[in-house]
Amino acid sequence: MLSVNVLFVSCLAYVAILFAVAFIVDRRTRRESIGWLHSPVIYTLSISVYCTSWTFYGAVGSAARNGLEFITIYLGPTLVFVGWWWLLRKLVRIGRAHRITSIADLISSRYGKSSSLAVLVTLIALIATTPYIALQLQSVTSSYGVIASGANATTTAFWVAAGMSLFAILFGTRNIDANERHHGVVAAIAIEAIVKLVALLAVGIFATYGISNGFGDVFADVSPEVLQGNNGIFGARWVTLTFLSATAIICLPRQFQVTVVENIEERHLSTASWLFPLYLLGMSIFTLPIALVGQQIMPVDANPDLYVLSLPLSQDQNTLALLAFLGGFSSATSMVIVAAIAVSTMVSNHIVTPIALRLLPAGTAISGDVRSVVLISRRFSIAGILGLGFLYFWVSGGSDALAAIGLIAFVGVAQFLPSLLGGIFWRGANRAGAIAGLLIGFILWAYTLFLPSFSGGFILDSATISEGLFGIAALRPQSLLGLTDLDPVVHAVIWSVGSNALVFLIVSSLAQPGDIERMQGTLFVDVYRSAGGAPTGFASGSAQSEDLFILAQRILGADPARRLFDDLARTQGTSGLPHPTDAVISRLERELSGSIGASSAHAMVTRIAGRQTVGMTELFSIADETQQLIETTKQLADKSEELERAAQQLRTANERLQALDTQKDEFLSQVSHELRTPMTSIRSFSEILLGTEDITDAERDKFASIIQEESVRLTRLLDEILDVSRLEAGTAKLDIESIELREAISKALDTISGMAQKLDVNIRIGDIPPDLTVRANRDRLRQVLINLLSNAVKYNRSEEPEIFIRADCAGNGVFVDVIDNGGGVGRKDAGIVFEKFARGSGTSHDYGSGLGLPISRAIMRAMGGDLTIEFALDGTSYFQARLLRTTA
Amino acid sequence: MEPNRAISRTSHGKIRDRSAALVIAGATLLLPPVAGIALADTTLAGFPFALAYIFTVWIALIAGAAILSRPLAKADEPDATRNPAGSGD
Repeated sequence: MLSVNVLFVSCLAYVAILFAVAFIVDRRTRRESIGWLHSPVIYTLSISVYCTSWTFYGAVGSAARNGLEFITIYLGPTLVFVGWWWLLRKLVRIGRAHRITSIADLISSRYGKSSSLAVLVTLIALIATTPYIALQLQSVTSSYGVIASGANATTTAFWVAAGMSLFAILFGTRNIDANERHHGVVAAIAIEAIVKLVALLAVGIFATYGISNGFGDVFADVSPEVLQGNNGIFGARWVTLTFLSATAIICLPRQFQVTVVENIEERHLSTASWLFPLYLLGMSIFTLPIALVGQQIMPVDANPDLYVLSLPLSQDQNTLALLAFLGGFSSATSMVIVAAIAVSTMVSNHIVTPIALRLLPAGTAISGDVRSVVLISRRFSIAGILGLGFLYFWVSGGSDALAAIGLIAFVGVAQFLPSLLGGIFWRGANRAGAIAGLLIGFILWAYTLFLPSFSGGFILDSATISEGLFGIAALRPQSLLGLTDLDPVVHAVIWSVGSNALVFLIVSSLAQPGDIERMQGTLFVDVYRSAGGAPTGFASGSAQSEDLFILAQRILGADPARRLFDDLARTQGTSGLPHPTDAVISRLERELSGSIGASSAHAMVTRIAGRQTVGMTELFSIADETQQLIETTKQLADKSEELERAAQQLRTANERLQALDTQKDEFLSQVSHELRTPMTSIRSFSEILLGTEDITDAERDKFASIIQEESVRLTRLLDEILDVSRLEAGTAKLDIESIELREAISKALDTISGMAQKLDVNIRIGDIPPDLTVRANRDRLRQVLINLLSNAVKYNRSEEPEIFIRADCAGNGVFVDVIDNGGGVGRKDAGIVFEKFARGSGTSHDYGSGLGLPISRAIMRAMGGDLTIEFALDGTSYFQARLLRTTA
Repeated sequence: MEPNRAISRTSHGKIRDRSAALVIAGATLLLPPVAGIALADTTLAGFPFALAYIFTVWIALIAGAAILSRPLAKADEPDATRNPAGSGD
């Protein structure tokens, strides 16, 4: 028989080793990072805190009673870890990006940092965890009792609880790590994970190969009924338990702590995805053999829950029994320590600290004493949680009711699942839905499973449990609304988790989320899209100012923020950044609310100012989003300006088109008018010739000649119209060549010399260099010059008519001026003489077609020059033709 | 888009598809009604069939997860799949 003293000393030595490891690791990580601690294997081993004494001892008992059913407790976690990519990865990413410290923190952060939600989640976690801790105490004391029979169970439980709380306080609350990571604890738990696995494997191998002759012998005469157990397998209970264990691996506060909060690197998750299921496989591979061998060789009244320990003892394998005891002890202690740390973080962050800060004198929050308040409250919370666990154990007297408490706790924490999954996958999920769902789920869990587990000893009496509340059969806790013939756990899961999810869905879809909720929802659901930033600390006052400044820069832009902070610092009479006093903060809030709305500004600034802990990255993400929104608005404004410009251009073009249309109409009516005059005379004279009999030969000749003249004029007019439209449309091809200007002018003068002599007009030519050449079409240039000269001759009303022609060079341009002393064109007419069919106001009776000048100008333009009317200083006007000089 | 980038992207998608297929297959095989086939009253290599069935599926799941873990972790590297700045939908 294993002596109590050996056991006691071994236990103390083991605990001392754990303390030493935790201490050394904690101290060394403070100075440098420890390589092996960053290994994914350590991470995986810490997750194995899932395997408590309930699985270490209880799985064998469960296998003895319920056959294969015990495996469901491992299958759920296996599925969740194998599918890590779809859920755990997102949880870990969110946890890291938003510096989540617990599952209560995650849920409340997601739903707008709701403190009521945080309190609710914390309370549910506390209520579900307390009996679970009591269960661990019971397993340690009863396993101790197996060896040290006669030991006082309560005393043992008390010292175990005290020792565990000492450990948890020492290594769980040494400091407030920004990330809530506890390297020392993780290292100790990894050791415990190895010890419990080795112990269970050793006992299993001993049972299979030491007592039996291998697996074949163990399973030789196992009937299917044994495998199916009392409840049968592959039924509703099987599905429910798989679901519950899958949920527990996410929602249990201690699992959330080790998987999400203590995660050092995301990629460790990919290793844990297969290594953790492998660990579970190792933990369960010998469960059934131990149970079967135990049933064969142990007395009928032996407790199957303690086969792992009693089997080696019965064979006088003291070392093995000691190892088994340490394995069970490890399972219990690791669970209790991590659960206590996880739940105490929640209790202190969401219940104790807020109350303490409210009670403490104002100013403590700013002066930095918050840290000590949080640490103290966390230490008291750990002690309180273990005290509650011990109290529960003491009051319940270690009754059999505890055996079912593992599953009851699983169903309790499963209430977090709808809010958790909805929160990270559904933007529409909101606070009202989460609170309603959690409340209804919690109440139904308590009513259908938790309270009936006391068999009438707590709140619900046994009459209520069997007859229903107020004797109403429909309200029987274990067959609510007549849902009978169901296993109590299945019944409770259907009612509590089902109603929770349904109410969560319905209320979420009905309620309007607040601003912060909406933003948090987007940040959580789209966590892969936002850049995960490094956590930023803001413990001291200067850090707050800096963070506020960064925030202001992100929202207001660099320069306005600089000006605002300079101004604030001046008001305080300091240089650099201003102290984050209330005045500064409220001023800043006002400034920011202009950009992002009052409520968001309030939330962001008060959080940065340190009144609540908050993920800095999330705030900056919001700020960046706001900045993006402002950018988008600006771009939109630019776009609408551009549109406005385009519309203006369109209006101008339209006006021009309308003007052109009017011009075209006028032109057409003028053309018809111009054509009408000769046509009328042709028609009249031909009618006279045809209709009048007594007409003299002289008259006939005269009329015929008029008809001929008018026909010629008509043809010329039509030619000119065609010409001008071709020139203006640019379809007329002009052969440009190099022409001597002087020669071209004298040839034009030759043509009109007859007319000039008849009207007695004197023509002079200025000094034109004979070698001055221009680029022009010979015939067309002559046409223009004749037109200009003949106009000058025809319309000259001076007593002594005179025309002067000169040419100037300027750059590559050559200007030919035709100046006459006949009054020229008045300023009034200057604009219209180039319009078709326009004639000067003082025209003589001998008028032209009115197309000469428009054609001339079109020709000049087609040759790269122009034709304009220039005014001399004395007010007289002259025509100026501009031509391009031939370049050598 | 460069051709190798396109290839690596599709293979990331494929890896994710395989991971989803693994979980769904695992859940289907381990839960009723499909798991009911394990109730056959027979033995496999000396083990009761139900036990052998569950452990075989379990080991296959672990093996599948082990095979997929490295490519999945690679697909999760920030620059591999997405633009971290992100501009909303």
